[in-house]
Amino acid sequence: MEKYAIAPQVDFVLIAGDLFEHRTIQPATLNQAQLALQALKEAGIPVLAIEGNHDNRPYGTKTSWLRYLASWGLLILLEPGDTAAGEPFYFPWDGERGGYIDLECGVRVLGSYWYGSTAPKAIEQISEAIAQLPPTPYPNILMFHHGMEGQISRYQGALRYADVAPLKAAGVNYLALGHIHKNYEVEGWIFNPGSTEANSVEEAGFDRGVYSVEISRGQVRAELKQDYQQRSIVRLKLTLRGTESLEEVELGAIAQVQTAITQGKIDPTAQPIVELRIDGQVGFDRLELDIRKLQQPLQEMSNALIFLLKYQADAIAYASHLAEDASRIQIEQEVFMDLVVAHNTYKKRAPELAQGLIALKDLQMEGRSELEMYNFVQTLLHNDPSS
Amino acid sequence: MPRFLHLADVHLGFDRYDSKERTQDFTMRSTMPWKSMRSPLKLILF
Repeated sequence: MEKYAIAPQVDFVLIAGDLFEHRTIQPATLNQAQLALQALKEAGIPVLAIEGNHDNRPYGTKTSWLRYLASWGLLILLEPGDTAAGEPFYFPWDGERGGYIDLECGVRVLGSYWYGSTAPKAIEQISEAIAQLPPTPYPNILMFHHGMEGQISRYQGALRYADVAPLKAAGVNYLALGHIHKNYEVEGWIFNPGSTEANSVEEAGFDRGVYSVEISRGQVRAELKQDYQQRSIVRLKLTLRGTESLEEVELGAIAQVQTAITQGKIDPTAQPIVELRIDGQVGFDRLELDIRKLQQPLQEMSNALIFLLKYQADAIAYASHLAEDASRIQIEQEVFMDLVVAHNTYKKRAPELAQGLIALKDLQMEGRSELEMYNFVQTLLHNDPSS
Repeated sequence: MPRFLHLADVHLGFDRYDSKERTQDFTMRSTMPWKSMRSPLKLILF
C-alpha cells in the first residue's frame, strides 16, 4: 500500500474481494486491516471494495466486517441493491451504501456480490443494470469476484469469455477480478492480479502481485507490480529407489537441503517456507523413519519459517507368484519371504528368516510363553552366518 | 487520467503455507499501535 498506492498518490484503490480469509476474524486481523486502510484514508486515497467468497455476508444477515469497515469510513463497499425489496440494482454510493460511485478523477466504479455458480446469470443482470444507469463520459470499472476458465486446473464453474462479453458490450472498460490466486489478463480489459501472497506451497509457482493501472482515453495500461515482500517458498523433492538404508535416507534429505542452500535456492536469511517431499520407495518399514526428528535439523539448516517435510514414500512390496494348488505351507513360506525381502536389513537372509517366522508361528500355535518366543527371535536374528 | 491500484485476495487472517502452527505473518505484537498505551489494570472481583 505504501509503495504502490500512497507513494505514487494513486487516485483510488480497488480490493476485488477476499480482503479477509474468514467471515469471522480475529482482533489482530481486523487491526491489521484498519491500520492499512487508515493510512490510505490519511493519504486521501479512497478504497473501494467488494466481498468475495471468503468474507461475504452470510445469506439473511445484515452485518459483516467489510460493512463494519465501511461504516467507519475506511472503505467504500459497493453492493448492488436489494431488488426484491424494490431497490434498484445499481444506485449511487450515498456515503453509507451504494452499488456504484463516480469518482472525481474521472471514472465510474461498480460493485457486485459473490454469486458462485450463478455468476453467468448475474453478469446478464449487471450488464442490463449498467445500461440503465445515467450515462457517463468516464470509463467504467466493474469489480467482480470470480475466475475465468483455462487459468488453473481443477476449477469448476469458471467463466467462459462468452459469459463476460456482455459486460464489455455494456461499456465496462476494466473488469477488476479476484478469486483465482494466479495473475492473468484477458483481451486487454479483464485483469486478475492474483493473491497478494501465496496461500499454500502449491501456489508458489504462480505469478501474483497488484496491478498499477492508468486509463487514458479509454486505453488501459495495467502493470503488475511484484516488488514487495513476499515470503520465499522453495519446493524440493527426494525420490527414493528402495535400496537406501534408513541412515542414507536421512543423510540424503540433509544433503538435498544443503545443496539448495549452496546453490542459492534457499536463502536462510529470508526465513523461507521450505517443502521437502520424500517419495518413491523405501526398503524398510516406512514408519522407521522418524519424520519429526529429521525435520528439526532441516529446519535449523534452512532457517525456515516453516519446514514442510512430506513423507510420501511407500514401502517396497513384493508379491511372488503362487500356483493355484499351492499348499498352506508354501503360501506361508512365500508370504514371509515377500515381507522379509522388502526389508533392506534382512533381505540377504530372507529364506532362513522366512523359515524362522514359520517356526515362530508354530510356537505361538503351541501356546509357548512370550519369553520362549522372545528368546527364539533373539537367536534367529543374531545367528547371522554372514556376520 | 485515473490512476489506481487493483488488488484482490489478500486473505488476511489465513493459516498460510499449509501450516496449522503458523497462522499469520502479522500478529498483535507487530500491528497493535496502542500497545504502549495499555497499562496494567487491577482486577476487581465482586
